[in-house]
Amino acid sequence: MWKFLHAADIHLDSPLRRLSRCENGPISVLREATRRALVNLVDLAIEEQVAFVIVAGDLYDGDWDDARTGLFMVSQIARLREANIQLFAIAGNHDAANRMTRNIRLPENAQYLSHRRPQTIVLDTIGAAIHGQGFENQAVTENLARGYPARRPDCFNIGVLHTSIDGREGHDNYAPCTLADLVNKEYDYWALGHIHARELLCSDPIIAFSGNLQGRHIRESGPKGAYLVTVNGHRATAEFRALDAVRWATVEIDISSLRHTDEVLSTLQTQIALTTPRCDGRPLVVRVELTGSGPLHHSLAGRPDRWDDQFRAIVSDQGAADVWLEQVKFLTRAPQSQTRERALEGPWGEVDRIMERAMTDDAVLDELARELRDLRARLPDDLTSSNDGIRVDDPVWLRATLASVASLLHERLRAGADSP
Amino acid sequence: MRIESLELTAFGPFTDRRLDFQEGTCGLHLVYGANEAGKSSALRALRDALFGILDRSTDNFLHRHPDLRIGMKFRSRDGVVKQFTRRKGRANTLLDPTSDTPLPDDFLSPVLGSIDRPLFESMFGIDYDQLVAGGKEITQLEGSVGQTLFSAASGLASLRDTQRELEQQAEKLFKSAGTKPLLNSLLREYKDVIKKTRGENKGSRELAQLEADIEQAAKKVSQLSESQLQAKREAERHQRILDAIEPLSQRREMRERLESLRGVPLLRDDFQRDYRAAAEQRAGAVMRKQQAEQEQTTLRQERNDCSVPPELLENHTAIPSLRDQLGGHRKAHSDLPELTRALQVCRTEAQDLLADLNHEYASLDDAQLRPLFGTLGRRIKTRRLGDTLRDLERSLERIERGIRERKQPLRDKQTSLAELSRHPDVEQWRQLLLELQAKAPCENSLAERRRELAEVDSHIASLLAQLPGWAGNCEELTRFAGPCEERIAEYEGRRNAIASRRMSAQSQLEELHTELQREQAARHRIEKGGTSVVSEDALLEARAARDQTWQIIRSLLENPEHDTAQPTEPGRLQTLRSEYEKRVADADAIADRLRRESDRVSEFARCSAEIERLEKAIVRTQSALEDLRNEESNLARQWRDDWTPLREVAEHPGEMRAWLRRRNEVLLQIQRRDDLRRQIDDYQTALAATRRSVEERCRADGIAAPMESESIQTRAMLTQKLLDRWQKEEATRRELERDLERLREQMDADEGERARLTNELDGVRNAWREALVPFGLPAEATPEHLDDALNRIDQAKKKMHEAFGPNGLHDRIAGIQHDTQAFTQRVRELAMRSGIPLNSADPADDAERLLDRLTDAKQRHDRGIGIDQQLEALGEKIRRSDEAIEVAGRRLQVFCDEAGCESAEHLDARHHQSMERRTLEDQLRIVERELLRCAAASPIDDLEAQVRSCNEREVQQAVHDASQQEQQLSSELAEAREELGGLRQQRKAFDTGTEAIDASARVQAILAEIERCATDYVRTALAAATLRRAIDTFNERYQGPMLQRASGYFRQLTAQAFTGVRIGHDDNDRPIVVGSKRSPDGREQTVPAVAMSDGSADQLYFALRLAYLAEWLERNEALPLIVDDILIKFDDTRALATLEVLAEFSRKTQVIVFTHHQHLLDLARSTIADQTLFVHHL
Repeated sequence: MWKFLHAADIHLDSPLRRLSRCENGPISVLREATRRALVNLVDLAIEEQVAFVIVAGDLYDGDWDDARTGLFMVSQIARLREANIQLFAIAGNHDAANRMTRNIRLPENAQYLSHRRPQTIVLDTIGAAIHGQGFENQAVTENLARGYPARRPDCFNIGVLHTSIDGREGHDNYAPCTLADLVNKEYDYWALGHIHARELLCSDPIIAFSGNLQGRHIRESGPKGAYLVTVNGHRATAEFRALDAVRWATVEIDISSLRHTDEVLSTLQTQIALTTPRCDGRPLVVRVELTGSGPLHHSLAGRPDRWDDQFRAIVSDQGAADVWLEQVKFLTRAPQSQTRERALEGPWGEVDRIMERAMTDDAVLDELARELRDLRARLPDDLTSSNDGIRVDDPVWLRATLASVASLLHERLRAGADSP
Repeated sequence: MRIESLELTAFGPFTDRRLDFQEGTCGLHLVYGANEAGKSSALRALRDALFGILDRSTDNFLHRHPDLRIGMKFRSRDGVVKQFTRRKGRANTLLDPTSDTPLPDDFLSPVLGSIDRPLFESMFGIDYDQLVAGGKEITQLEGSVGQTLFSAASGLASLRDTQRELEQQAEKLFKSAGTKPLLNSLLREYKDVIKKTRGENKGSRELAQLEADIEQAAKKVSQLSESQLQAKREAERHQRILDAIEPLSQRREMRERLESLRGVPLLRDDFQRDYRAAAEQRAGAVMRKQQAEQEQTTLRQERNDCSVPPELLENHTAIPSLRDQLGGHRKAHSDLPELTRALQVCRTEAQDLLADLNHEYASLDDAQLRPLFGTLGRRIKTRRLGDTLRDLERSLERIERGIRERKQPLRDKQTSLAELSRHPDVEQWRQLLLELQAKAPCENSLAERRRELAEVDSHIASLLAQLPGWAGNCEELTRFAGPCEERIAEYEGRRNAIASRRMSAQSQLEELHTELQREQAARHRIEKGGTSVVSEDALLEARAARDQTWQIIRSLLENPEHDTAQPTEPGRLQTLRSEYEKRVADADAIADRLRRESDRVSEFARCSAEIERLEKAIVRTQSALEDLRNEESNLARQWRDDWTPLREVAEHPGEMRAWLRRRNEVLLQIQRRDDLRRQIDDYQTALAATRRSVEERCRADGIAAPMESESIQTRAMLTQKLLDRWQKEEATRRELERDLERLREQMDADEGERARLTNELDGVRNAWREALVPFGLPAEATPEHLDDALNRIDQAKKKMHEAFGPNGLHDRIAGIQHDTQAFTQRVRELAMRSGIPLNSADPADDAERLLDRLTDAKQRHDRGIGIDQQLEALGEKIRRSDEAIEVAGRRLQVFCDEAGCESAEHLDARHHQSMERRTLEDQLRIVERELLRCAAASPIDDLEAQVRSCNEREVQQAVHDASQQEQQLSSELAEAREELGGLRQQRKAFDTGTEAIDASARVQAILAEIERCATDYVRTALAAATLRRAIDTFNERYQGPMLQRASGYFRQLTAQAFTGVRIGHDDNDRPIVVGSKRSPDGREQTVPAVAMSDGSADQLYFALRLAYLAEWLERNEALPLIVDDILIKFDDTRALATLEVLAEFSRKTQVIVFTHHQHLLDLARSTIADQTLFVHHL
């Protein structure tokens, strides 16, 4: 019986995205999250005395070229060498684009498999055969799996591949293949990389994406880590081990049944108190999503800036736990009856009527959005191009934002009315 | 909605206080309360009743928060009256006042619709502060039409501030051309950090190059280091030769001295200490031997005094045993008389006990009594028999007592059972009860329906009476279809359109007149300038006259004969010439004037043209106005045609809608009345059938029939009671029968048991009598007698056993006598064996003397043994001293041998020589070691030969040269190392430093900030844009109707000081709201809002609010208008005017005015009709 580790998509030194400046936070932990996750991976390999570690692509991140990143990778692989553990990696799309892959020489216990043709490494002492092929350039669109060699009958066969398989949302469609392509190779284990969400595609043989080692933004929530694979003959069992240094989580608060704003705050406290223990002491970054349709909608959506500050205060007051708020999403809707009736009458109704028309009439929406043209021209691409960024050109995004504008207006006008 | 009453059950200063607003159709209700009377609390209570008591309500100073209660009764548009109680809380705050159970949360939704508290307060509530703020807002808005109307309609007094706040907030966040706004600043920071991030990155290619440079520099350092080492070694070699010269000389001298000490052994370092220790040991041993010999002599003399007789000592183990026996002997002798007396007492007591039982036993001796105790073994059996006898007698007694006690209850229950009577068939009565219970609610329903019917009839009559212009009855109303909503809406639309066009046309006409007057005045001023104004037409006319004259002259000159009309005359041509010249001069004069007075002429022409245009426009506008009037009268005719059956036709569609709503309410009530009548018939039929069933049943079972007036519910209750009584009697009967049965069974069982026990008791009594015989007891003796007899026997037996039993008193006396005899014998025997003569009569005294003698002998004997042991030890000590003396002597001899001297006295001198040799050898070794270093691993002799063969000065020169070379190389090496160090330092920066990822994290942090700010900006900018658009669209939709209504209200509110409200233009030609008034000369003037007095601006605001509210009420459920002391700063004229407006407005909806000014009440009472004004005092 022997063990190995299957990891992928380390993206070393890739930053945690859209995290506000944390005045009193563990800045070094948040900043070096991917490094700490890599250290955790090496610690686990040494502790479990694995035979080798597989990294199925993307050790580095895109065009990030800071030699210190490569040297940190070297230092960790050197720790593996001291424990007599080898590392086998393939270049993923990010590695292929990265200069460090060529310029930073890894220690002798680490080996990149060829990117020109499929390469097989046989470890006679334990009877393992590792087949793999890296990316020659950033965009590999042919089916690499088909070219992989036949299985070695006397060995435990492991296929290593950086692929989007038959396509996954949010990931470029590289080295596409089908599950059948992989199964037909009759390998005992397929260690896949590229897709950042952990996924077990098949249990016999095991075909799995280990996911990335450290979540870097809110869409990479939940535990992140690697598979610890135990091999007994031709049978393998894979156990997931969380290795991330910082955890991302979304806390959803449905306001439908809430009647008082204090309940929103207490619900947030409860939700965070429930989420924190599941992080095993890791710092936690949360996004709060306010959803549902209820009487508190106007109060929340009317003063989002004030609520944002209150939520941040609550999250930072969570006692010993290291919890940070990434952002608050106001996705609530007005109660149906209020919306319908109010849209009919008078000055207040005019506001609602314009909102309703903007929801269906592009011309009205364009007229309102004319105010935002200058802003759009000045915003960085990083913000305007991502799915959850500021998408002023996108009618869907604009309409979602407008949902809270009516409430904001009602609240402001009323606040003015209360203090003549 | 109309509030019928407000119950201030527990709120603010009130307890169980009621305000009744039921009077009047809607009514103007004036709630008067002096200061501190609770006017503000009542006002808050009214709002809190409708929308909930506020969390932080301050009206809890008399009643605690949980106890606060406000009740309200209201009538909704469909005439239904409802009531509720409001308590403070977060859920279930609406309660049913009759049952105090929660009402559904949406209980008020049908009347309030989408109106919440803020909307209610802004639309249906107005106080003095709001009025003043509204007036001020209108002034600040400078009459801007859209904003003014929007602000007044929404009840907002801060629209301008809100708009400005939104715009300022947006500008604070972002400006397309600014640098200070937050977002602009963040975007700049973002760019800077991105640039810096690129600078922070240390590229991997740079690292690879650096590592190659380091390798090369390291190689250079290695080479220089080797060369420097070579030079250094050469210098050292020559220096070593120089260093060897002096040590070589010393070495020679030392070796010569050592030669002289050859034969002196090298003694150990501790040699001197060892031989001196041996000498000291020998001297000590001699002294110890002399002391031991003296002690030996003294002890031998003392030993002679310690001799004892040997016979006594031979018995030293036997004699001490007498001491143990001596104590026992003396104790036994003292106990013996007491034991003898006790033996006699026991015997006497046993005999006395038995004599009480049977006097024959008193004479029996010990031997005769013992068998008697043995034969009495049967007593256990007899005692059991006695117990059985006693148990049987008790059981029999218990059974007989039971039989006696049960006889009376048995008789009682038989009597009770006989007294119970039979009852009719319960099942049929139960069925009847079910039927009665099923029908009982019908009676309530019937009464309820009848009551409802009466209410509905009354309501219909009331509604019909209140239905304006209708003289027919219900059926006629049902048949009258009337125009549909679409028709009214069409009429309203057309009417509004015509009104709007008419207003516009009137406004236009007024403007045209004004302009015409202005133009006419201008032309008049030009004309008044002196000379007449020439025109181009005059020039044209002059020129035409000139040309005509010229044509005549020309034709005369060319064809004089053809002129037939006027024959040529000599003077004619002259006349024509003069005329021509005059006309030429006229035309030129006119042309000159035209040129000279061109401005005046053109202004005059423009004025004339404008006047003409304006006159035409006025005609057109008047014509259009006439058309509009015609159109309006046609429309009104059509409108009246649609309402033919009505006596009066309301002019306004809103009133017509209200009429239709009221008619619909009547129709609904009629339909409800018919439904109620049908239901009443159904209920009556069902109830009659049930009554018949009851009568039949009563007749069948002989029970009194119900009275006519008795209700089904009462009958059901009576039947239920009857059934309950019968059921109870049946249960009692069953219970009695069960009890009787149980009692009889118990009596039978007890009788049987008594017979069995009587038989058994007879047998046991016979056996008992026989069993008493051996104990000498009479036949009538009871078991207690037997117990007493057996106790006595047991006591007697115990006494006898104490006296004569094993180890009893008798045995102990015999034992003491035997022990005394044996002790005496033993003492005498030991005295004789020890040779001690004894002559005492008491063996105890002899024994003590013998023991004393033995003790003394043993002490002397022990002292002799101790002296012997001391003597032996001294002998041993002398022997050991001898041995020590010998050993020390031998050791000293060994030291002499080692040092090579004959006696111990020479040892010190020898030791000194040895020390000198050792020192020399050590010094020689040091010198040779130094020489070996100089020889660099070659033999010293070779070095010596080398030194001998070289020249010292040449060697010194070689040392100098080699050192110079080494220094040169050392300098180069330092430079190379410095370069290498620098490169390594650069390389080290790659191992540490997190600047790049820090910068990268900063980028993300700034992006997050930008996203937050940008989202805020988007929301704010969209809100501002939406508000602008909402103001514009509201203005388009409501401007006409609102201004038309507001004109009337404003005229009334200002007591005709103003004639109305309309649209004017400011200096920048922007449309604004203006008030119009008539000047003393009858001309109409406009006053912009900004130019109005504060009071007028307030009244303009109030007029606009009432105008929009009236519009709103036409389409929605009415809610009461709550007015809080807005008249405090109005003069009496305008206050009265405002009260009249409110009284008129109260025809549309209920108006509740709160005030604490008595004179306002008087004012209102003086002018407003009693059926409209209702005053309430707090």
